[in-house]
Amino acid sequence: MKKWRIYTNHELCSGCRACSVACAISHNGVADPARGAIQILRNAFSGYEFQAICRLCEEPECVAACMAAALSKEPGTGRILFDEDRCVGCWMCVMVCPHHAIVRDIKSGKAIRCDQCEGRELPACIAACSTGAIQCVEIVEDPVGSGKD
Amino acid sequence: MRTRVALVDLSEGTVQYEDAYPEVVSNYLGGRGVNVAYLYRMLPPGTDPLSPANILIFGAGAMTGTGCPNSSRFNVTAKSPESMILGDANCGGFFGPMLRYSGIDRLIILGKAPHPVFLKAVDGKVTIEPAEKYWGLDIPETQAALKKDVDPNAEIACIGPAGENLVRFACVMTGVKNAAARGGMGAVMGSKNLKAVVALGGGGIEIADPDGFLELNEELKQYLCDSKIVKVLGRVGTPLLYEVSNYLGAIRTRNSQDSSFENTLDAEVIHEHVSKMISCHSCVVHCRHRNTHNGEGPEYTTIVLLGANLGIADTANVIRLNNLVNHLGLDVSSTGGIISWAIELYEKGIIDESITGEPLRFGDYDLAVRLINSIAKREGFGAILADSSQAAAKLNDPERKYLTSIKGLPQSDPHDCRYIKGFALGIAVASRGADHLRNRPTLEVLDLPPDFLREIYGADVDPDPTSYKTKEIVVATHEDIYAVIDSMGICKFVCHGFNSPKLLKYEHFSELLEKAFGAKFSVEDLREIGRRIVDLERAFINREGIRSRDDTLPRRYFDEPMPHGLAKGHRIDRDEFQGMLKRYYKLRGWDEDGVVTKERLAELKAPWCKCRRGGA
Repeated sequence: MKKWRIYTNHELCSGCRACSVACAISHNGVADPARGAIQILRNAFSGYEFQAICRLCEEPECVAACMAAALSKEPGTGRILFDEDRCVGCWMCVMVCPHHAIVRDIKSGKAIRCDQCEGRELPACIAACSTGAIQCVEIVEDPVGSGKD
Repeated sequence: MRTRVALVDLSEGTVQYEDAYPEVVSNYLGGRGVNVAYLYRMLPPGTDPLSPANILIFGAGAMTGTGCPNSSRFNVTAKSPESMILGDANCGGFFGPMLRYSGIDRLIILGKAPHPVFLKAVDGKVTIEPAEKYWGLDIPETQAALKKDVDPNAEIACIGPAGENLVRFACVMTGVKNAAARGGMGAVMGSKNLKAVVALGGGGIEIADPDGFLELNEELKQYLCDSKIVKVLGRVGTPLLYEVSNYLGAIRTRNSQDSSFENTLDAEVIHEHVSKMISCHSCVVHCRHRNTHNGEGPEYTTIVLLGANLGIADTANVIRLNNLVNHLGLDVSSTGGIISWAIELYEKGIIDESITGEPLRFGDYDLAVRLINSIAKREGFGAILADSSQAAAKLNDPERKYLTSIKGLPQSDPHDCRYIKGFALGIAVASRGADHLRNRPTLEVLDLPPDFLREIYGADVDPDPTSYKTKEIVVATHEDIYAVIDSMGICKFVCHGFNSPKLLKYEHFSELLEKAFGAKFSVEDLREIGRRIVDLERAFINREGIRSRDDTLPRRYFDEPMPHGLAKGHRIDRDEFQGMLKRYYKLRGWDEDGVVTKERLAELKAPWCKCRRGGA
């Protein structure tokens, strides 16, 4: 099972949101960029667009803030795992994430965050991106380390 | 395929909801097709377009917002105050998808609000909100204020000063530059005291086969990204066509008195003023420029209509005019066409300073800025120009001899149509007037082998673009698929025919509809939908009085040979043109006067083409 670390390059991002829509379809069966774990922060009038997605922080604030222990850091890979059943929708993770990478799902009352599409040939966002603005590398497991590259 | 309709009566202050009859979707698909089906049934013939009786429809395409390549588009439809016939404008950006995510596929707006309002669509509901504080703001100001007051993630379609002042070629705009531009849909909004529609999302669009749909999208994305035309459009955008037309000697210059212009408007020169190429929703092309003069664009249409056509060669100034027109909410094509008309009339002595207030001349950037501002505000001479083709009598050109327009709509295509005969037939018969987006057979310029042409058109066609033979087949084929593309909500830039003989066609549309919605549309079903839309639009304009005599060309295209380049000496022969027209009517199954037959009309206006409540 492939495990990915996802990188973004905002200079190549055209702001189209195909990544967010593909993520939402892949995980929820619904085309709705608001429910994608990758968000495009864009303002055409101020002239910017960039991607907000989990960067697998070395010391993740979201894990520390999660009172329900729904979030944890996977030993050996550094991935942030999310147990949706444990999520109580307190949104602490949303508040503390410095990268705006966690989204509220108003419908389910749970957090939406990137699971790196474990098992997919390529993460859905990358498969949908037409500019190469999202890339990934396969995580090589380090049994003793934190998974940091 | 569920289609959710909100019927908004601004006079009564009410909103009602319903699902469209399934037959209207299976017969007209969505977007442009379903919009015209409703408009035909609900709007009484002869309605004054700027009266409360006009009906304004915002409709998303069948695939809009689903995430399939380039599925950003929606149509705004009403009777046009510019041409007085069909007003229907297709627009990209992010508003169409967000309207659908809000749980509304189509807004049908009746009546007139007693004071300025905006509509807010969220989570399946539409509310009417006060908008006095936004009245008078331009396009960027309006959207900034509404995002601040309502929600920063909202997507907004709005009008600027031009729409408020009922300029007959005011657009509906979303974002910095995306415009439902043609036919004065912004003036219809203004006449209803409707400043904006704000969409906030809510539920999204359920996908029938998520894995299959994503797999198909990825495959199509790759197919499109590998195409040469998609690559070059993504690099420099539509200005790439400028050099091609200029080489032919077919760039509309100084109100079509000339047909070639300076190379300061070549794509590579334009590109020196571009900071980034950006895109509409789910777009794989990203052909939109973020320019370094505080705006987006310019398109090929803009650099010609506001550049060559006005005799303005300075690259930065042409881009500044583009930005100004977008800020005020004016249609680029009509703005350029109407101003150049006035300048030629002045130069010929047909009008003078008693009406214009100042000398008019080509190549005067400051004059263009003044005229554009005065049109949007309806001040001075601008108040006359704001009436577009309907200002003909006041401009002493009652027969519009010097206006490049058809059926009252100034020509949008920057390409002078005297050389390529298929282009000429196309703009002559297009359902909303002189417009290239209904049927322009761009493949005419590509010199394709006969076998390939036979495969595309299903018949032997003459590959010579200057020949009059078989052009009716070519135009009708493009017209049908463009009607389907506009109803799918997909951009023409990734579809068959508009820029390339390849890209997405009926087979792809059929597969997309099935994977996204489980909806079964065969290739033949989709072809018939295209023909049905073209016929119903024709029936609509027939009902407003359009006949064969109106399917004509600007006088200059018949009478004056082109002056430059490869196209030098070419013009349109009147008899040959009439021959093309007759063959086109026959192919369409219309009568000799270009009227849709009673039998066909009975099929088209079936009882389900309307709201379950309200309307006719």
